[in-house]
Amino acid sequence: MRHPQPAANAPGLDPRAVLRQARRARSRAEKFDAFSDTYMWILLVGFALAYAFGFLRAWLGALLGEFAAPVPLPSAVLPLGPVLLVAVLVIPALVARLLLHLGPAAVSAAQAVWWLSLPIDLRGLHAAALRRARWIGALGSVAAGVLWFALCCAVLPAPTLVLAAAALGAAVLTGVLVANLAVIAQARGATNRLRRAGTMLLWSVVLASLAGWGLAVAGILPDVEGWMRDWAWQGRSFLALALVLLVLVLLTHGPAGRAVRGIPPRVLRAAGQRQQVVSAALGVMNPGAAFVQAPAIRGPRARRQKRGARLPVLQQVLLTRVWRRRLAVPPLGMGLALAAVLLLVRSAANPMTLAVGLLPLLVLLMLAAASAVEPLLASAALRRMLAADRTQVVRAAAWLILPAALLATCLAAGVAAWLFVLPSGTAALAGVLLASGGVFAGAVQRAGRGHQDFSGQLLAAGTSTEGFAAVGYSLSGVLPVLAGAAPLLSVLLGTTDLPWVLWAVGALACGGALAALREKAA
Amino acid sequence: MSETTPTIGIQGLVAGYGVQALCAPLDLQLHPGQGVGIIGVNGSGKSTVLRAIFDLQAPLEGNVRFGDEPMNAAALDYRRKLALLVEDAAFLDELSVAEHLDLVARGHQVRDPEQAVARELDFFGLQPVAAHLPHELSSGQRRKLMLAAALIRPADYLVLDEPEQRLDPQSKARLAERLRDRREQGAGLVLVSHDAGFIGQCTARVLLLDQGQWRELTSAQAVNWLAR
Repeated sequence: MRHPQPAANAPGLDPRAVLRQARRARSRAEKFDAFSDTYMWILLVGFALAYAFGFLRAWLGALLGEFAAPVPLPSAVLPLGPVLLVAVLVIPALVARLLLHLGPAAVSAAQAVWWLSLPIDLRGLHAAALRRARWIGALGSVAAGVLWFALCCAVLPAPTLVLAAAALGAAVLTGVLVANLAVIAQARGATNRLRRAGTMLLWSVVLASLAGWGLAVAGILPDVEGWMRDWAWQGRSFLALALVLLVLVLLTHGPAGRAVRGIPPRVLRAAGQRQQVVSAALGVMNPGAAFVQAPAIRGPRARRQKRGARLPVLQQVLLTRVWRRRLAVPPLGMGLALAAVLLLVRSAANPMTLAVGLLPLLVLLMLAAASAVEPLLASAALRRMLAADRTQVVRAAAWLILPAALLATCLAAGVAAWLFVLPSGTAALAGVLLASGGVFAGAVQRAGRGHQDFSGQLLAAGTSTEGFAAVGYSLSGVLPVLAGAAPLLSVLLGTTDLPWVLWAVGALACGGALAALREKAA
Repeated sequence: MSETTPTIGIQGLVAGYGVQALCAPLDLQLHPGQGVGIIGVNGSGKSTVLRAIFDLQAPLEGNVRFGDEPMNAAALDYRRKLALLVEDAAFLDELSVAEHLDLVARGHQVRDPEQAVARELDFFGLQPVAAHLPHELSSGQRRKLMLAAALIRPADYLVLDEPEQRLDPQSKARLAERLRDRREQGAGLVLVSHDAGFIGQCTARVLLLDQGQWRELTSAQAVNWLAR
């Protein structure tokens, strides 16, 4: 066969143009599908943002004591404004950590194979990678702006449009600046060093906040609220901040553009793989899978594993997964944050804060439990290897999940009984049982559907219908948690006469999974 | 072949992950027209070594030169002169089989790209699916498309990780014959394979990676080792 020969003076090639042309050549029906897909996604994002803003506003209202009067606690001395200001400053730091984890500049596997390997000008590909990094940074950081805007709406009698726009603009510019700096760090191979520095910075913020609380308890905290009134609630402060950020963005624009061209292809490829894993995992609400790296099993871990060997094999598998994938970290972190807010922030020591904090805590607990149980429940082949049937797995899962859920809900009820007024001990006990059952039912339902296998389908989903089905499917485990927790949340809020429908819905939510415990083993 | 075909020089290369080395230091010179096959059991580190040689992964130690320059996947010479099939199959969703090959042919400025595409489609039996999108292909057809992309373009070296995978015996024999032809025409050949017969048809020089140690074998010794 003849050896392929290069042409003497062939024109340059722009793969973007080739891809555009291929898209244009699609049939009308496919074009309409693409249009309707985009339209549906925009609608979905719009609804999601509206709900998120509503939830955020309600959450802030709870923290500000708008819905329930706070109890005076000697430890709850911090004003909410400065605490949220710290949160708003921490968000860009978290976005920076996320960007450094993601790459941030990356090429997909297909781009790496078919585009990056061509002997052509790659500026288009590099520019697209940089643009995507900036989008991720801007979208992540806009959360800080939205939080600030919600705070403005909650705190100020009449938040000005200028303040809102400047706050959002400053947040977006912060995200772009962070992305530029992260790309420069990536080109210099400094991402791991910077991530470690970011972790230290976040711990410093936590320690500084605790120090601020100590000063407030001692009564020597400077007049932070006065400072916020004069500066942080003023539109002109944010305009000045946005201008400074704009200058910094412009200053780093060129260096980032040059840096992205110097990133080695293998680094771009590896970042592309990480972004694929993260987007698939987040798409099915499985953040644990997005950020966990496979640990080496040496030293203390191996010894711990040996100690665990005394347990039955199913429990060993579950505990090993919880330990190695650090599944307990998100619910524990949420629980600690909720306790800190309740006990340290002046207006937040009220039952509504406890209720709106407990709900996401239970959802996180369900997600973690589902991740632990998922391989055993979703894979019949794995169960056959372990000579176990579905009922045995559900029972082993109950052994893990129910104590954790009972602990969380009992603690919440205990805090409510200690700080606030619980209308009825019996109702609280029944609420605790139903909420724990709801977490168990949600975890079993979610794990049984094999959401991790589903993430692959989500990535390959050709149409919005398949994408929506994947997202909807992965959300299904949340409903039993909401239904099961509803009576307990009502009791925590001091409701005396709960409608029977709430109890019925709660019982129905966890009834199916509890029945699975009683199924006859094969 | 291009007028200046660089030599690949590997000195003390150690590949692995984290701090864990998978092989003893490798020293190897590869000249145009030469071939080398790498064999070893699953998980011995063959593909990792291949990735480290061709700058798809950072080596733990040692260096690799492509002519007078360090091996650099971003360099124009690298992209022009090395045809690699080392990554997992991945495709551009928008492009059909023929359009994928056309992109590569035009990107590498192949003379008469339409004819080159038709030739590869014919060689790999992909003509009936030429207008199909990647998700409509079987795994064997996907493999053939990746191979066709590596062979449609001019290259001084062909670097292929288990190219015989998922091919039927007839396609495998034709591919081996074609790779041998390319080597005889002056292209260097680096192969990783578990198929001693396939390697033997393509090249006489075989490196065995056995428990982290390198051994040079003849084709006959390689056949015996793989058949044991």
